[in-house]
Amino acid sequence: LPGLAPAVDVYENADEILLVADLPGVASDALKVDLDNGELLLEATRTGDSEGRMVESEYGDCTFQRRFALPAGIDAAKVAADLRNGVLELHLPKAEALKPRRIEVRAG
Amino acid sequence: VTWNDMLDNLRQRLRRTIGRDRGGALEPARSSPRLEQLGDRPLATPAADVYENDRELLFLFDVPGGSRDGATVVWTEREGLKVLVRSQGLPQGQRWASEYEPADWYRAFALPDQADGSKAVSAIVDGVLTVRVPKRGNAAKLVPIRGT
Repeated sequence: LPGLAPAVDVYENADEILLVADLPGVASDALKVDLDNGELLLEATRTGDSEGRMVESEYGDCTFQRRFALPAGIDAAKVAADLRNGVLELHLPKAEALKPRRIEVRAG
Repeated sequence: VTWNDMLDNLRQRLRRTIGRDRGGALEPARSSPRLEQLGDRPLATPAADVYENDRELLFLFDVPGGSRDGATVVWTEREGLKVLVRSQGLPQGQRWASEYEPADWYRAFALPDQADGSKAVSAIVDGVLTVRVPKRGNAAKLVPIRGT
């Protein structure tokens, strides 16, 4: 199958890094998300059940693959993936130590 | 009775006849006379595959983020098949890397004569919109002849 790199947006807020990837036609059991030694690998396959002669082809069966180097301080145990309507949202929570904190100032 | 009243009346009768909700199964194409006005965001062209066999034409559109609520499929004899799928909004937070902008998906296809768009059915699953357009039957029909 031809390999494609899915379009990805990356967001950050105080609590997490959010990775949003377009994976149209991919069911949740055809998606693999691996986190290993600071490297994130997304792999997905889509296969259709089309019958008949191809008239026009722009889409087709394919594998999606993309690899990212993650910054330090991601809490790997709490990473959550949510695949809905062909869009993957991967939540990468920051470790508590990296979250911004307000320091209370004591009066002397 | 204005033209719009007549159209509304016809639309309601069609809805009652066809039925809209079949529990996620393939359902008849929805009709909307104001397709282009639905999108206030930029329009993007979804990648499409088209297949043909003896019974039907099959259209597949890549519409990641699209759901049934935001999808409209329209067929008219004169203009053919049109699909519009609203995309979802962007998440909150500071954006580091961006490879797509929010846009609504829109695409139109003229259909061949043997395709019967009035019987088209569509479904949207995992960000892929499927439209099946059956072909008209080609069975010979005996025409009665009156006279002596």
